[in-house]
Order: sequence, then structure tokens, then C-alpha cells
Amino acid sequence: MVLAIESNNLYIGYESEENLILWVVEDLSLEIEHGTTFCLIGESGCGKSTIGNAVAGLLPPYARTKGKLSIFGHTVIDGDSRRFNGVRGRVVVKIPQDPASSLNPFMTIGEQLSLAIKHYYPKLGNGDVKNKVFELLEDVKLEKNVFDLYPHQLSGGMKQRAAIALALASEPRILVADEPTSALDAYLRISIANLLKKLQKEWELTLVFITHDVSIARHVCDSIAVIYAGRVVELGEASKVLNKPMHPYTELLLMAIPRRLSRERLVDIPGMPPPPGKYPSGCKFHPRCPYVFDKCRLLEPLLKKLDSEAVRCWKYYE
Amino acid sequence: MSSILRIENLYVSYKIPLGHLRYGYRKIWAVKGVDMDVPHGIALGIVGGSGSGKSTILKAILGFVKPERGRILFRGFDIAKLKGRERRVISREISYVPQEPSQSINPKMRVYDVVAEPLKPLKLSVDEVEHRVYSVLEVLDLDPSIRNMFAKELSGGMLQRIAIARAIITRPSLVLLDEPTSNLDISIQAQILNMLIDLKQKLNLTYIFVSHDIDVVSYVANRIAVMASGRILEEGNVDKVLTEPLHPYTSMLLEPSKAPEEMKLLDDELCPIRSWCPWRQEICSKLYPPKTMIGDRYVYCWRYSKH
Amino acid sequence: MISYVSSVLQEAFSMARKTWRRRYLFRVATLLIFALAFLAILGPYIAPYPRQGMGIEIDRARAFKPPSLEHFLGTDSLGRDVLSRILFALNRALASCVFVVVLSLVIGLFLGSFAAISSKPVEAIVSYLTELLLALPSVLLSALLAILFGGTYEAVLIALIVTWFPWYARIAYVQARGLRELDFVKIPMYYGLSKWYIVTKHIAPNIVAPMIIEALSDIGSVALEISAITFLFGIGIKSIEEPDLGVMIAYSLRDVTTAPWTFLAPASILALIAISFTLFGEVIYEEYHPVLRKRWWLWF
Repeated sequence: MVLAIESNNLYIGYESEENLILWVVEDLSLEIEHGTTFCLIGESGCGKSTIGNAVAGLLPPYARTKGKLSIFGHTVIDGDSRRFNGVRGRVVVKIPQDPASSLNPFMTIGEQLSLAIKHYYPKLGNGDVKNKVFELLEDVKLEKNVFDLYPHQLSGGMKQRAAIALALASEPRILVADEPTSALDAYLRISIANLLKKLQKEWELTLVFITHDVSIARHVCDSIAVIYAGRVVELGEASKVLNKPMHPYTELLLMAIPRRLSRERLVDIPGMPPPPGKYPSGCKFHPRCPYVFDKCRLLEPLLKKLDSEAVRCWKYYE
Repeated sequence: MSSILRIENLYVSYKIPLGHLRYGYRKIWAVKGVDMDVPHGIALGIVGGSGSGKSTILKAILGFVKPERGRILFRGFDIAKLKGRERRVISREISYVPQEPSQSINPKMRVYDVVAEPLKPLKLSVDEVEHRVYSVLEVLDLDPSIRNMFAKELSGGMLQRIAIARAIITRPSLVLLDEPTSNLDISIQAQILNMLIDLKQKLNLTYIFVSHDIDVVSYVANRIAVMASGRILEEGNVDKVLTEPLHPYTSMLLEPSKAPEEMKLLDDELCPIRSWCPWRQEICSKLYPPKTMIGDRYVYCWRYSKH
Repeated sequence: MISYVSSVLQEAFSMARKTWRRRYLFRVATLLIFALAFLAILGPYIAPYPRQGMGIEIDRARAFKPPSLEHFLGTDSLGRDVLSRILFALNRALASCVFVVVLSLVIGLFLGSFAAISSKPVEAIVSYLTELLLALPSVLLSALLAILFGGTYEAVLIALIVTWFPWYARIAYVQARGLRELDFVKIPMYYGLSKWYIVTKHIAPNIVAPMIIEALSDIGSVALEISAITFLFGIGIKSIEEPDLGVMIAYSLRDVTTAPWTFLAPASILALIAISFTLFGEVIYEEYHPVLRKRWWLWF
């Protein structure tokens, strides 16, 4: 199998006001196979969007990195140097959270798509470009008349589809979707998730799906990484992680979601997820963990491999 | 069970400017003929997609928007006709917890002032206000030491608790909750939902809980109303609506993976889902269905009524 | 009350502090402002010839002396020490600018905020009236008003307030209109709290910080306008003896070839006031609207 994304002890941080570096993501080692859907799941401020931006090459200039990240064997982040030329936009693209902000309100959808296609395939004639736009629109299940419509004439779900079409214009191999469904209604979420899954299969893409919604993740993903306080705490096949969680955080998180027709009291994890820069010592989850013991407070566990899964918890070091 | 709030045939419209260079307005009906009866002591959940008019009903109850037609009766008083003192008395009986705590709490104010604010018009003594603030903070399990913190220093979950504290300090009987957890993380959402359920028991409150997430609503609510395009399509006991939905839109909400690909909600005088409804009939595109009672629930669908 | 004011000022102060750390030009502007303020406050006490400075004493025998140790900036056509006159004029100019700007800011802030949460007709009338005032050329309008108010220096200041408060009212109105849609303004209105309470507690503290910065940078423009009015029309000036930058520039113009120092000194002080205050505001503005940074490139 081809590895689409490989990271080795990657650290990502931002320069703060006092010239200190705030490490948001620490010790990230991932291997994502090409042609799979990989989910990053976690609560707000845990660093999942930062990981997505790092993969898509969209880290701001004041970001600092350590470690290594390669895309299809091509090293893009090595220490503090980042070289995304030729990768960003062509191999990796990102679908933003808010589709409205990625579409130009003064251009029709057709014009925007044609412009993108002309940029990536300068040799195509006007007719070919138009055909390609119609193909893209069909791929994302939009009707042909959308070609002549402006973004404000579309509904939220249609805008998100148009944004996906725009991202696909360069025929990328990796698609980073940062909360593509969180601005939408419940039923539209499923339809956008289905669309992304279908595109991933048909176009043989690697889909990095960032979300906080467990039910969508269950629906879409092949493998899953649960992120807490900038670290992967559990990694494995989606069905295993979501049905038999091993890390206490995943376990409690799944019990905190209201289930239909269940009047059982939700488990609330006491306290709040720590914001970047205020991570506790030792295991980052220990202040909220019900199974905490002395070792957790002092030392941070490493990601331990167990069969097909990996967990960052002292419980599994016997 | 006596009813605490009755909504009769409520119509609310918004005016949208035609454009930058044209003068005039277009009328958009946000709520179209809603009838609702909220008995004392229940939690009524309203679910629907964005633009279904679910928040507008709350805004009409609070008086933020004026009803175009219809009445809202709180304990028998027509809310829109009250003025001055009477209005203020009612405003302490109905309180409101909005969606986004960072927009509902002034970042430049201390927590104590935010929570005590609704008591200002009562002109209570300083000791009395202090006592009530502390007792509210105690009920919500909030550390009294946060009283001197500014709202901008607190996290979203904490702010939402402060918003709830402000809502219950006037000892209201009806609390309107507009998607109180949809911007919060899952673990914080569970904390807030559990807190709301405990609070309802302790203070004998009535809730109207609006959300787009049917599972969140069903965790808190006893009764549930499904809305689309400004109308209530179906209302009934939570367990019954969730197990045997009457309206096709509700079944679609419950199982979105089985929904048809093109799901348009039409915004006109007729049934909003008639373009893709599996049970559509000829009459659906001619006349809006009447209210049909089935046991203690009702539905607006031609499938359950004769014509 | 003190904590309220300090919490309001804190934000403006933190904006300035952040810019201070990042922008070189801002430090220059701030130091210049402090130097000018220092000179203006101490001016009447450190002036070498206070009586000449005030214009009480004249000495025609010593007219048009070039700069020397005795007279740092030389003497003017009536033999008065230019440095002393400038120190008095600076004191007067800055004091009246601060007076005009502070009063305009307060009037504009409250008028704009109240207009935003008032009933529809009141809102429309207030906003149209302020826009009407904005449409008129401010120097001419204030000159006209100053004549109508009696032509004294106080009348000039009142006239300037009349032409300046609409700017702040307009900013406050636009900002407050954004705030009134937010729930933290709607909820107290729902509970029946007074408009005064809502403006002072909820609206003003959230919009005043950028307005204070704006007002500070406007001090430069106000100084220019006062001088322009006194220079062009001589309104508000009882006698040409009074120390005023505009009058000094006006009367030194005819001697500009024979005694350039009498013209250059007041003119450059006036330019310094205008540049330093404008720069102060511009740099903060650029810092908070990064798109506009380095826009002076566009001039070339």
C-alpha cells in the first residue's frame, strides 16, 4: 500500500505575544494509507484543525514546526522549514468549514469553476473547460443550471457542494475536509458526508475528515484518531474505536452523546478540555479521568500499539 | 394540567430589502399559523432545520418580533397587548437562554453584574440581590469566586451556565432555550443538558427547548414538535414521535440516511414536502391539510384525514 | 465608577501597547506627542519672556533679531521672543483641541448610541441630521457658526464641536447598530431596563476604545482647523497680540523673506502637531487592519 501522509514526531505551535512558542500539536506520528478515509475527532481547541492545515500546507507564517511530515514520500515539513510548492492545491486541497467564505459572491459558480480549471489546465479550450465544469457539477450532484447562479442564490448544502467541486477542480489526491458539515442541518450533514464518501471511492482519494460529530465519523470513516489536548490518544479502525473504546477519554466521550429513546443519564466528563498552553503535566487527561492513578499525574504515556490499535494510556502498560 | 402558554394561529413575517438600488421590501413568512399549547411543568422540544421558524416562535414570545396575526397567551394574558409594569412582571416570568453565550453576555461585565442584571428593575436591597445571586450560583454548582471575573475570561461552557443563572434568577416559570448546547463541545453539552434536567426538577420549571438535533431534544423534552417552513408538522409525546413518526418529514429527520437525494422544502401556502413525499396525493398540491388529532398527538398530513 | 472607567480605558491602552511593541513609527509619534504635551503644560512656566509671550509687552527696538542665545528662535516684528510666544500658543492650541475632541467624543458617543436603540422615527431623524452636518464643509461651517455665536474664541471652539461631534456620532451609531442585534443588548431591554443603563453598561464600553484612538488622532486635524479659522478669518481673536499659531503664521507671512524664523517656527510646530497625532492613529489603525499595512507603497 502507498502511504499518502506520513508524519514523524510532528510538533506544531504558534508564536504567542511574548515570543514564546505555544505548542498546539505535540508528538504526532501518523501513517495514512492512500485511498482511505481517515477521521480526526476531538473537541474544539484540541488542535485537530491545526493538523488539517499542516497537511494541506495552510499553516500561517507565524506557525512553528518540529519533526517531519511527508506526502506521498515527498517531505513537506522538515524541522522548521515548510516546502509545499507543487503539493499545496494540486496534491492536497482543503474544503473549508464555511463554504460561503470560499466562494466569491460576485462570480457565478460556473465562472469560478472555469477559472480554477483554466488555472490548472491552461491548454484546455473554452468548450472543454465548460464540459469539465459540468462534469464536476454532476460529480457533486448539482444541476446544470447552477452554472449561472451566484453563491447567494444557493442553499447552505448546495454551497457546500459547490465548494467541494471547486476543491476537486485540480484533481487532487488528498482531500482535507475541516468540519465540512458543522454549519449544516442534521439531514444535510448525512448527505454531504455521503457525497464525500462517494467521491473518495470514485476518485480514489485519501480523505482526511475532521469533525467533532461522532455519528458522522461512524458513518464515513475507515480509521480514526481521537485527539485530546494536541495529542492522538487513540488510533485505530473506526468500528473498533467507536464500539470498543480503550482510552478513558473516548469511552466517556461516547457516553456523553445523547442516544435516541434512551433516558439514561448522560455521563458528563467533569471539567473542561485544557486550552493550548495550559496543558497539565503528566497524562493530559488525568484531571478529568476516573481511572487516574499516581503515575498518570507525573509521566505522560507514549502511544502504545495493541493489535491494530494504539492507545496513549498507562492502563495498558502492565 | 393547566396550560401556561398558548399560541393561537401565530403568523410572523420578516421584511427583506429588495436590493441596494431598489426601494421596497419583500415579505418572508417565518411562522405560518402555529397553534401550540404548553402545559405547566413539561419540556416541549421544537426540532426543525435552519429557517424552519423555530427560533422565531421564541422571539415572538419574548416580544423581539411582533406577530403579524394571532395571539400569544401567557396564563391567559395576551403578551403583545401588555405595556409598562405588567410587561415587566411577565418578563420576569418568562426567561431566555440564547444559543451563543459569547453574544448573550457582555464581555466587559463582571459575572456578578450579569447574573444580577434582571433584578435591577425590582429595586431590591443590595443584601437581597447578593443573597439571590449566591443562591442561584449554588443551585448551578458554580464556584462563588467567579463572581468577580469578566465574561471574556470564561470558556463557552462556563458562559452558558452564567446565561442560565441569569435566566433563573427572577424565579421564572417558563424558560425558553434556543439551541443552548449546539455551539458547545460534546462533553460540555452533556454537562449542560444534565444541569437543565436537574434544574427543571428542582425549580418546577416549564421548558421550550429548540434545537436542530432531534436526539438532544429528546433527551430533555417530554413532548416534541417538528417544524418545517414555518409550520408545525407534527406534535406529540417524545417516545411516540420517535418510535412511530406520523409525518414523513419526521421519519426523514429520524433516519437521514434513508432520505431522498433531493430534499427541497417548499416555502408556500401548501405542504412543504409535497415534492418528494412518498405518500403524496393530488390534494397535497391543492390544499394545506387540516390538524388531525390522533390520541394525544396531532399531525398535519392528508394521509391521516379524509377529504 | 473608577473600575468602570479603567476597564474602558484598558482596551484602548492595550491596543496602543501592542502597536508600540511592533511599530517603530508609532514610538516616534507617541514620543512626539508626549514631548508636545509636556511643552504645552509647562510652556507658560518655562517661557523665558512670559510677558512678551502673552503679548502684553512689546519692544519695537528689538524687532527681527535672528535666533541667538538670548532668543532661541529669534524675535518677531514687534520685538517679542518667538519661543515664548510659541510655548503660550502651544498651550492654548492643545488645550482647546483636547476640549473640542473630548466634548465631541462624549456628545457623539451618547447621541449615536441612543439613536441606535431608540424608536424608528427618532433614529431616522438623528442619523439624517448628523449626516447633514457631515455633508457641509467643516471649516466654512465653523467659521460661519463662530460669527453667529459672537466671534469670540469660545465661539470658535463651540462651532468646532458642532462640526466634529457628527463624526463620532456616526461611528458610534454604526457600531451600536451592530451591537443592538446581539442578545446581551436585547435581554436587558426585554427585562425593561432603562436606555441610559443599556447605553452606559452595554453599548458604550464595547465601542469606545477604537473611538478614543480615533479621537486622539483627530486632535491633529482639530489643531489645523482652529489655526485655519484664525489664520483665514481672524475670528475669535481679540487682538493680534494674542498668542495663537494661526495668527502668528498669518502675520509672519509678510516677513517671510526678511525674517523666515518668525514664519518657520510656528508653522513647523503646527505641522508637528498634525503629523504626530495623525501618525499615532494611522499606525494603530493599520496594525488592526492588516490589509491596509504598507499602503503608502500605493502612493508611488
